[in-house]
Amino acid sequence: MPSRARIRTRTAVALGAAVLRFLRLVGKGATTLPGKAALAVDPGLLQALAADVPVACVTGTNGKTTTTRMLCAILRGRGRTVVTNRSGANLATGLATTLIESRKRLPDPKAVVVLEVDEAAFRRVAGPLAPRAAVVTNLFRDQLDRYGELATTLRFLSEGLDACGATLVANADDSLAASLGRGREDRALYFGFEPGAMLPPDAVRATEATHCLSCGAAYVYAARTYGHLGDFACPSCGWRRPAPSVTLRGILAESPTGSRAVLACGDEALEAHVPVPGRYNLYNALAAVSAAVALGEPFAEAVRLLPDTDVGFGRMELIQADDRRIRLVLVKNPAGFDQAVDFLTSADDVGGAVFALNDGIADGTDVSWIWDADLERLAARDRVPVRVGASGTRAADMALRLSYAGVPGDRIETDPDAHALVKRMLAACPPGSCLYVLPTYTAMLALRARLAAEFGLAGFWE
Amino acid sequence: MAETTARMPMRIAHLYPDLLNLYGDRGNVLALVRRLRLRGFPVEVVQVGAGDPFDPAAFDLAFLGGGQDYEQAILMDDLMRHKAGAIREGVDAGLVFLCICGGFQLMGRSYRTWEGRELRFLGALDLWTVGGRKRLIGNTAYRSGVLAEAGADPWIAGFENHSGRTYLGPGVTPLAEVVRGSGNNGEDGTEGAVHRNVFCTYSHGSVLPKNPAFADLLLSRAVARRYPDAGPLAPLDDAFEAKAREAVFRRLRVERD
Repeated sequence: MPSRARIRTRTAVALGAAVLRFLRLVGKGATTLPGKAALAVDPGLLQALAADVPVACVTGTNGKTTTTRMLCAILRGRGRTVVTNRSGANLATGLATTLIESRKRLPDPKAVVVLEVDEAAFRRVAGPLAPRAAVVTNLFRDQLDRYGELATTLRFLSEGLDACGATLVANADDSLAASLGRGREDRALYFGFEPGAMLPPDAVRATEATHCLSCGAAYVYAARTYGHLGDFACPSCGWRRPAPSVTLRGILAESPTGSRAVLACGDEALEAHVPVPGRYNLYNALAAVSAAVALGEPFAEAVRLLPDTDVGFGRMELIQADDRRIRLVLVKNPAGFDQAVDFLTSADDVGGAVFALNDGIADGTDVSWIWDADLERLAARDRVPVRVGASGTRAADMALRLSYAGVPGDRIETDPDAHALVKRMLAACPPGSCLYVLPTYTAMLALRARLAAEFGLAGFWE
Repeated sequence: MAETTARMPMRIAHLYPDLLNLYGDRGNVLALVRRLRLRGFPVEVVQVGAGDPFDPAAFDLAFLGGGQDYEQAILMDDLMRHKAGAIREGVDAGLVFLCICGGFQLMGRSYRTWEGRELRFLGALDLWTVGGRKRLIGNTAYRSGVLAEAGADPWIAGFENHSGRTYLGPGVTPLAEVVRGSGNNGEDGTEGAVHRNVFCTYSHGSVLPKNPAFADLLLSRAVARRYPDAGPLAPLDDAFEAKAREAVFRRLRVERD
């Protein structure tokens, strides 16, 4: 006779599955409600469903979704049956929905579960999911109105790691993420840039995590990559960047379609093609390859399979719009904004740019972070697009920020309706050029849904 | 005026820029610099960090922002041992200060954590702060008597995010009354504090870019100290500023007088 716990799990799964079927029937994404209903019936649901299948979690401030997708591509290429929260719903309810939806594939001996997990949610799901690998991509200030201080986020992640035995796959160049490996040296696997592939320390403006987490002295950097990431060392207590096992040795080429770089692990050094542009995506590639290695896959295979990554869904996503293109670059916080602006100012196909700033809960209700991003570089590099749009629920704040950044007032077009503005500006772009759209999360979701209907993109849960 | 100003830049001290730099603080410095430059004043921003000397007589404006608890704890020793005297001297000499959120609290006498621990702060202003459990977060609208008295637009649009509750003693004046939001403590309807040329507020981030009248009040005090004959500041085109303000007031359904 099945135990009471098993009956509860079965009931919860049946309910979740029914809710899922119904919502999909009426055309909804249904990425959290089924899990919410099921968790209400059986709070132990995650543990029950994930008990017999290897799990990897990907958390951190930026790069969760892209790293997850890269890791999935690698594992699929290795013949694994991959279950993942493709929708990006990364709270307990979204994870439960994913497991319920894919429950029939979980018993497959080749099954592996790859989940991107919200930093705060990780604390509570790490125990039940018992992941074999937990990736921490990086930690930046992000939505202080929601998460509180970075010290709090670090504590959440640390509690999650204590609740499971996962190999910690952490960014060595990030003093915050790397600090999670202290006292966990026996189960930490670090990735990072080799100092020779970094920039001189004074080439990067960084204002976060400037002081040692242990003793409070200011870090000294021998080299940097972006933000507070780099070859850091504390001159006072001696805590320094741990030596990474998986490294980026050098960047060979960067283009709008991606980058070529040399990745190394042990005595193997291989040329990798990262099929999505932007320097921060090189870190995501390192994170994904390292996670694959932590899960027992060969380094060379992981590197070989990187180009199979199906990127998109608003992260550097390229949309063909007749004879023009739209590039969606999701922006969530100052560090990501800086990187997106770097990308925009180095592109040579810019027909226009739209900044869409919403202040919903998922975006952060506080929009003052736009002042911490170095938008001044837009004007400083003399690469201001001919026309610049300001949009979203806080379009007027964005327009003011752009005006401060040095964009001439008569070139700033303000319209809270992002879709209308994008369509108008797209029409004004020269044929063959690209309209760069930098939206916050909810602005991206809404805009992408409209563009999906017009240009035939997949639904976000597919 | 242009000839006298061409010789000497207006000097802004940005105190602890690598530690007190919570969301958007940088925007306030950008606003001060921009509004001076547009009026022909050369500007120099000096970053005064831990270990750096601070001579209040060498500056026209000083900015003290907010930090995360961890960063704020790091600078306390340097602040109390090496800068407290100079800051109090600057306050008494009429140096113009803008102090936001954590910076506002630091100017006061003390901070009592909600566990009951008492921390001694700068004591430059007659105010004190008590830690709360629930953070006070959201868009705000204030009406400032100080701005009204100066003949300027009295409305301030902002965003607050603080757990400390600050209480004002008789030695300071509130910067404004709360129309939307929580203000100093969520109880007495006051927001911020003013003492001589020190201006404190919980409205962090983009308070100066979006509230040009407030920025100009600070600047006019600073310019008048340096160049007593300079006269009033030249008006600027604040069309983008006005729209950003309007959007907040509209969102908060504030009817202004």
